[in-house]
Amino acid sequence: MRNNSKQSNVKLPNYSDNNVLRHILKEILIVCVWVVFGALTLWGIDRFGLISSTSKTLGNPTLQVEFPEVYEIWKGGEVIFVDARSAANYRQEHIPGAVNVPINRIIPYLKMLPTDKETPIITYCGNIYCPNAHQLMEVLLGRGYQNVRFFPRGIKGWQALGYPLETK
Amino acid sequence: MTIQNLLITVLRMFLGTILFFAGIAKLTSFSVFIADVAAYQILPLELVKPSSYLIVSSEITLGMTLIIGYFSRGAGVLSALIFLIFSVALVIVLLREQPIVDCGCGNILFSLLDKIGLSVATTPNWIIVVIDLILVLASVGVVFSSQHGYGMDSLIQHVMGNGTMI
Repeated sequence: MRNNSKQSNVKLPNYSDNNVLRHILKEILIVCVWVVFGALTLWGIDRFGLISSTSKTLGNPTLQVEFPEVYEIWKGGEVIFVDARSAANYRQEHIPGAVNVPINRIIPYLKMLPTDKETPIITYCGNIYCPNAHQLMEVLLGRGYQNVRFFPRGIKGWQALGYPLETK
Repeated sequence: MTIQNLLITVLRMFLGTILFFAGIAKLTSFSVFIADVAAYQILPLELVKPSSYLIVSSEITLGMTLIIGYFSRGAGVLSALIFLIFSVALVIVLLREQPIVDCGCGNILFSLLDKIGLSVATTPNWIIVVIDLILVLASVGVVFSSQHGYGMDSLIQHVMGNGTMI
């Protein structure tokens, strides 16, 4: 009974009046302020180098290799491409000549890499949002390989430009 | 519980989730995302980085507000605007036939489509434009729905109890 009387006091807003437009504009303004505040926060964080803070290397452009340089390097044949994806994905398709070192099973696969720590290596994985290539690069840098870079666009980027792929 | 409320809630949370995770994905590969924005060659180079901050911040903020249903109409308008801007940028790139490797769209929706067997290339293409336009319509749906669905807005409205718009 008490609930009913409370219910009857609830007056839903009339969405057809001009008040709605004013209300929506007010909401837009408030959300815009949050967005700008968020952008300024990101800018501030970026100034201190804290974006992608899980790693000191991610924002470092010298450790990334991009198109068309990556294709020229691959054609040169002097660099080892390392696929950080699972063995199943690797078998499906990979950059020709690439070695597979799945990020979740690094240890048994590491022996596939040359012992010479100065060998130039480029790691890659699925696409730009896949963290495996970057993580693998960090592992290899940590194990003393001195000339490791990663190709952030991965197999999707390679495929998108119609470069050759190998299946095994 | 009405069907309309439920549908609006699902639609709003779907949009919010797409935006939120797209923003997070861009943030985790921020340097790559900046390169993607620059590759569109629509903005002057000085504006590329500030715009990247704004895009990521918009996606995360709008995503969160839509998921919890707080200021959802305002967030819906801005979400429609952001998807419309993405569509226009893609159309410009497609008409110019620019060789861009990745659209920089954030991959959660593409991953979902991939899981159900609808693989969409991440290079700019007309399918992505259509997807963005569908998301514009979905956002407009959230704005013009006569109900808030289940979220903070409804809760606050209920607590206020007098129909006052906050």
